[in-house]
Amino acid sequence: MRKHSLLLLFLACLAFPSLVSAQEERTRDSDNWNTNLWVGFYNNFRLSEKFFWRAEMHYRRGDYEGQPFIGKMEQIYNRHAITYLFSPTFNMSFGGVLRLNFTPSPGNDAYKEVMHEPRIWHEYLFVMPFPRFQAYHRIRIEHRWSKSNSYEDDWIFRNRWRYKFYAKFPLNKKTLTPGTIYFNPDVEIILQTGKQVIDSPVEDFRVYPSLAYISSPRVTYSAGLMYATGQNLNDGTVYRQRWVMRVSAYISLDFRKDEKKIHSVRLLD
Amino acid sequence: MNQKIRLYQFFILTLICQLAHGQKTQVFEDQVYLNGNVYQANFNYYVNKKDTLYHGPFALTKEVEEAVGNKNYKYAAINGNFNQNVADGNWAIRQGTFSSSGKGVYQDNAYIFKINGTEFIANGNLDKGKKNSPWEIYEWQIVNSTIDDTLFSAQLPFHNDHLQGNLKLFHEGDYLDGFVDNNQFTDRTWSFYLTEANGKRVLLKEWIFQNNQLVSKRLYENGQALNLIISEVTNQPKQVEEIPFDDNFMKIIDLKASLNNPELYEKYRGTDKVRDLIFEVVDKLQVVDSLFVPITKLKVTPGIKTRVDKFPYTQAELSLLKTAQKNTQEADKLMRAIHDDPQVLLASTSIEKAAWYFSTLQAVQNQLLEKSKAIIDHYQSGNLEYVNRNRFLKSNLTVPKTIQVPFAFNRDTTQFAYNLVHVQVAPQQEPLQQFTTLSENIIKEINLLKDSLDAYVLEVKREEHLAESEAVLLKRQEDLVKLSDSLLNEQHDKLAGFNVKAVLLSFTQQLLKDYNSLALSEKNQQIESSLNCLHQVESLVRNLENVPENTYMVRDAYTNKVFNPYTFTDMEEKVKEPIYESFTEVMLPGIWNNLNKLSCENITAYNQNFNNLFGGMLQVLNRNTRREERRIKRADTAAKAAEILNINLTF
Repeated sequence: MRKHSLLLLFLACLAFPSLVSAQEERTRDSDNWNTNLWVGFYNNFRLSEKFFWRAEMHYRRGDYEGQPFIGKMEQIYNRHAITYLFSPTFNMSFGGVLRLNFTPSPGNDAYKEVMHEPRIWHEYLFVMPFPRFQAYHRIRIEHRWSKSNSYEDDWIFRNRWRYKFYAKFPLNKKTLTPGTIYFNPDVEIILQTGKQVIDSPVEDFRVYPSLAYISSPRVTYSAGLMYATGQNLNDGTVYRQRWVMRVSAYISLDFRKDEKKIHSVRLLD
Repeated sequence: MNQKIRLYQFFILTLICQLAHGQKTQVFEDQVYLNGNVYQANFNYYVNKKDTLYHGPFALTKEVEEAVGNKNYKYAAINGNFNQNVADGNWAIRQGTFSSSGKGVYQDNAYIFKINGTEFIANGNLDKGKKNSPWEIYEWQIVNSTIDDTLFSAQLPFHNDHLQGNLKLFHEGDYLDGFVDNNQFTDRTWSFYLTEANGKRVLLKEWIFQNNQLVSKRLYENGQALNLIISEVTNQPKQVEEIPFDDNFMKIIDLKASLNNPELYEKYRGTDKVRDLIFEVVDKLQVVDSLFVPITKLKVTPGIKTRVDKFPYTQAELSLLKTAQKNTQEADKLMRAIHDDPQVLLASTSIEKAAWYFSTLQAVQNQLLEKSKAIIDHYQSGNLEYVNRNRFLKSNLTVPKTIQVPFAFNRDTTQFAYNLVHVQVAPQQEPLQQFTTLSENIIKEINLLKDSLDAYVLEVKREEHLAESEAVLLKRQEDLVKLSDSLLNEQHDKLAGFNVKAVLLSFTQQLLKDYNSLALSEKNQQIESSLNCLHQVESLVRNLENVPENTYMVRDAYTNKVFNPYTFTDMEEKVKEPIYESFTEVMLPGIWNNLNKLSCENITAYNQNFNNLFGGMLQVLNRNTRREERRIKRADTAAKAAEILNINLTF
C-alpha cells in the first residue's frame, strides 16, 4: 500500500509538468523552449559543531542547433556560503556566487564569450521531521548583478526571492539511512524585483521530482527531470519553458578533529 | 599526802573508764546476705573510726520454703556473742531441713504443726576468740518434733585453740576413738568400733601411731588380729615429714599398705570405714566453717597433722621419671586421638581387619598404658616419693610378651593373643630404667598398630570423601542448570546461532555420564578434575551472561554517528568496517562455535576467548589498522582473522 501511494505520487509529480506544458502548447514553436543538463556537485564541509562551509559547483549545458540538453555550454556556477546550524530543524546560510555565463551564440563576435555574474545570497531552511520522512521549507534570497553577453547591454541589479518546498521519502527503508533510495518531490518558485522588472516578477517556477540514493552518510547521488517555466524579463507575457535533466552528487565531509567525532565507549565493565 | 595522791589516782582512773565506755552500742535488725543467702540479722554493734564492730549478742536466722506449697523447709541459725568484735562465749550453728505433718493445732492465734526432718547442730565455747573447751557436733533424725535417732556425733576437745586429747566420732553405728597430741599430731592408738544388731560395740580396727607416725593397721576378724605394716624397715635414706592428716595422707598409706602387704591389702581394701568416718567429720566441720568463718574469722575445723617416711628422689630418678612421664603422656595423647577420630570408629565397625587393630590398640592401652599412667599419677601427685620405688615398680611393672585381646566384630566375640613387637625390657636394668624403656616402647607399639589401622581408615576416608564429593558434583550440576536458566537467554542463542544452554548442559551431562561409568579407583582420581570442570562451566556461564552486552558495546564502539547536512538526520557509519565485519561475521561466530566442541581441557581457553576478543577489538579501535583492514577482508576463518589482528584466540 505504501509503495503504491509513493508510486502514484511520483507519477503525479511527473505528470504535472506535462500538464503545464500542454497549456503552453501554443508557444512551443517559439524560441522560449529549451532543454538543459545540469550537473551539480554539492559539498558541505563541517567546520565545527555549528558551522558548515557550503561549496557548490554546477556545470550546465543547453540545447543548440538541434542538439538537445548538451548542445552548448551555458553556465558554470560557484556557490559558497557559511552555514550556521541553529538547531536540527533550522539553519541559515550566507555567502556569494560567481556565475559564468557563456555566449548564447558561439562564434558570434557580438557576444562576449564568457560573462561573469556575481551574487550575494542568504538562505533560511526550515526542516520538518516526520517519523518516516523529512519535509523542508527553503527561503533563499539572492542579490545579483548581471549583464548579458552582448556588448551593448549594461549591468543590471535584481533581487531574487525564492521559496522551495521539498521532501525526502525513503523507498526501500524506513528511515533515511545509508543504502536508502528516496523520492524527492521538489517545487520552487522564484520571484524577482529590480528596476528592470516591470511585468515579469515570476522569474521561474520549478517542479523537480527526483530519485536519490544515500551511498553513505557522506555521499548521496540524485537524478531527475525538472520542468521550469517563468516570465521573460523584457516581456511578461512570454513564458520561457525548460526541461532540465539534473544529475547531482552531494558530498559532506567533517573537518573536525577525530576526538570530537568518535564517541568513547567503555567495555567489559 | 598519800591519801591525796590516792584520791587523785581514783578520780583519774574513774574518768578514764568513763571515756573508754563512752562509745554508743547500737542494735542492728535487718536482712543481711551471707554466702548468697538472705538472713535475718539481730546483733549489737558500735562504730569506731568508721568500722562497724560487733559487741554483744549476735544472731542470724534463715527460714525458707523449698518451693511454694510443698511444705518442705530449710532453716539455718547462728547464735553467739561478741566482745569488742572478738567472738566470745557460747556459739551454736544449726541447720535443718524439715516438713510439717498433720493438720496442726490452733493455739495462741496460730497453727502449730509437728515436724519431721534432720537437724545439724555444732556448739562450743570460745574464750576471746580461741577454742578452749570441747566442741560437740550432732546430727539428729527428728520425727513428730522429737529426736528419734542420732545420725552423727563428734566430740572435739580443744585447748588453747588446738585440738588436743581424745576424739570421739560416731556415724550411723560406727565409732572412732582417736588421740591428738598437744601439737595436733595424730598419736597413740585410734580404735574403730561397729555396733552389732544387739547394740553391743565390737572393736573392728586399730590404727597404731608411734611418734605421730602410722606404723601399722590392725584388723580384727573372728577374734584374730591381722597386721598391715605401714612403716617399713629399710636401709634406704629416708626422712620423716610432717603432712596434713587428709585424703592425700590416706592415699600414701594405701600405697604403703599395698606395697608391704599385697595380699592382705587386696583382701581388706574395701572395708576401710575409718577413713569414711574421719572425712564425714571433716565435711561437717567445713559446713560449720562456711557459716562461722565469714562472721567470726575463726575456723572450727582443726588442722590435724601426722608424720610419714619420705624417700627423696635422686637426680637420676627424677630424670628417668620425667622421661617416662613425657612418654606416657604422648602415648595417652595418641590413644585419645585414635578414639576421637570418628573415621577410626567407623572403620573398626565396618572393616574386620581395622577392628582387629583397633581392639589390639585398646588392649595395649588397658593392659600396659593404663598401668604406666597409674605409676605416673603417683609421681605427679608426689606420693611416689613416700615409698620404696624399686619395690613399688617391681610389684607394679609387668612386661608380658603377649597380651590377650578381646575381639568383637559383627556380633561375634572372640579373643586372640597378640605378640608385642616393641614392648620389651632388659631384665638386668634397674626397675625405673625398665619403666622408662617400657614407656618408650609403648609409644612404638601404639604407632605400629596405628599405622596398620590408618591404612584401613584411609580407605574409609577415601570412600567418605568420594561420597561427599559426588554429592557436591550433583549439587553443582543442579546449580548449573538453575544458573543457565537465569543467565542465558534467546539473545545468546541469536548471537551464537544455536541453543547455548542446551549445548552446555549436554556437555555437563556427558561429563557426569562418563564419570559414572568409571571404576571406584578411577573415580577417586577423576572426582577433583570433574568438580573443577563443572566449576569452569559455571565460570563460562557467568562470563557468557555478559557476551550480548559486550557484543553490542563493541558494535557501538565501531559505530560513528554522522550528521547529514542534506537530510538533516543523524546517520550511522562503521569505523574500520572490514574489521568490524570480521568480528561479527567470522571471529565471534568462531568462538561461539567452539562451545560445540567443549572439553574439560579447552573450556578455560574457550571461556577466555570472549574476553580476549572483546578486549582485542577495543585495542584495534585505537591503532592504525589500514594494512590489517585490507588483509582481513581475505580472512575467512576466525583463527586467521585473529592472527591478523593479533588477538589471542584458541580454537
